Formats: sequence, C-alpha cells, structure tokens
Amino acid sequence: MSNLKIDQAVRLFAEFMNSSWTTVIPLLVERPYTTDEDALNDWIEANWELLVERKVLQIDEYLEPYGEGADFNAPSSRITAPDALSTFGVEVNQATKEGVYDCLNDEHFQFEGATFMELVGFKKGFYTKEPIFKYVLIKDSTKTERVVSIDDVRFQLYKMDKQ
Amino acid sequence: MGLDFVPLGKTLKIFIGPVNSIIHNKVKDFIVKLLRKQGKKVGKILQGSKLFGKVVKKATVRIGKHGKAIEIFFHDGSKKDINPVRVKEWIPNPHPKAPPGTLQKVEFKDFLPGSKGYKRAPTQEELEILRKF
Repeated sequence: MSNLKIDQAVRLFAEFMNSSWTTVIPLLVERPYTTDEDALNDWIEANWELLVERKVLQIDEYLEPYGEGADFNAPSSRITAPDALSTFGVEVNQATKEGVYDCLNDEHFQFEGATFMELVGFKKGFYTKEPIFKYVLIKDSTKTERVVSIDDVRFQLYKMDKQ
Repeated sequence: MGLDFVPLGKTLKIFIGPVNSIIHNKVKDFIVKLLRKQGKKVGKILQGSKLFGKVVKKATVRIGKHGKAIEIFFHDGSKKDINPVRVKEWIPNPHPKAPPGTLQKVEFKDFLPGSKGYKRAPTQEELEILRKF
C-alpha cells in the first residue's frame, strides 16, 4: 500500500469512467427494482471496490465508499463485503504549495487534507455527475464544497476509525 | 401516369387510423382525470397529498431487493426514498450556482454504520407509509 498507488488508481478510475460511461448508461437506467441514480451508484461503487480498493489495499482492508455509495445491499453502501466497515479513506491535497483554483466558487485557495467526495464533470458553472471526469469535488475544513482540477491535486490514503 | 392504385381497405386505414388514436387518447385522458379527481393512484404516481408535513409532487412505488420502496418528491424541491431497511433524503442544493432542481444529499447524525452518513433507519411513521402504499 502506498500513497503513490492511490493517486494513480484514482486517475485511472477517472479514465475508466470517462471511457465506459456512455456504454453503460443504457444498461443502468429504467430498472424496475431501483432508481436510475442508485443503479448508477451501484455500478460506480462496484467498480471502485474491485478496481481501486483491491488494487491499493490488503484483502482485509476496506476503502470508504465512493461518492454516495451503493444501495444494492442496503443498509450497506458497499457491493462486495457488505458488512465490512471502512478502514481507509481518501483525502485530497494540493499538488504544489501554490493555491489551487476552485472553479465552483471562482476563487484561488489553499487547503490541506480535504475530504474526497467524488470525481465530477463541470458544465455551465456547476459540477455534474457526467463525463468528462477531470475535476474533483471536495469538502474543505469548513465543510465548504469546492471543485478543483484533478491536475492540481494529489490523492492520499488515511487510516480511519471503523464507522 | 403518376397515379397509383390505392386499395379501398388501405384508404380506410389511412383515414380511420388517426381518428382511432384521437379517440383512444381522449378516453385515456378522461379516465386519468377522473382517477385524479377521486384522489386515487394513477399508475404509480400520487400527487397533492401531504406526507411528513410536506405536499407530495410525485411518489413512485417500486419493489426492490428489500421489498417495497417509495421515492417521494415534494413540492419544496426535497426528496425522500424509503425502503424497509433504510431512508435516504435530499434537499435542494443551496449553492447559488446550482441549476434549479439540483439536489444535495442529507447527512444524518443517526446514520447507519458504513453509509457515510447518507442512510438512516426508517421511523415507525415511514414504515407505516410504506405499508399503506
């Protein structure tokens, strides 16, 4: 396990979502047992666990669910190992010491150890849950939502209390 | 030259087809209006009733992995999704740049373990509503 690995893994995950999004959407929508939103979240979480979590963690370690998490195994937000509780989270740091541009609030700012919410697209001044996933939605220490370019940040793992 | 022979049956179909469709749609509209007036469910949609002190814009019932589930959209722009094992809620995104209709997930204090704060156990009232629909 290394921080370099999670940084690379999240970037590859963004590429994976960009390239597969339009292919999978017709397969995910209009399912009678769930909402479109939850079907999409289930698919994202399943891939997050299999592609990112299993690449960067040991077999008995678990990443915090991606974004809103899955709902297929409600009340759990996981797809694999639904009863497992998260042992690691992903935090976001600026790539350089210079400030980072927040395109959501249109300002430069400094931050450290922000909460990783999810990868997002950005259209007409607001973030979207659609490609191109080249932005990151984060929450800073004041719980303010910010959107920054994936090129301006680094992803790191942190150990979390089981929750 | 230039004139094709059109059989009588086909001619009748050409003229009667649209009329049939108009009549079908009018009858359908009438039945839907009648059911709405009586406050009954129209398909899976129920409008105008009050739940949790808020006016329902649309409510859709589905059968999910854990049994019956209901997704309720309220007139104030919020949304609630209830199934027998968890509840999720959304409010209109308060960011000034958020396009109208953009939702933000509610984070609960009494959340279910492993849900990142986004799911809580259903209340008795919510389970009762789920049973009723």
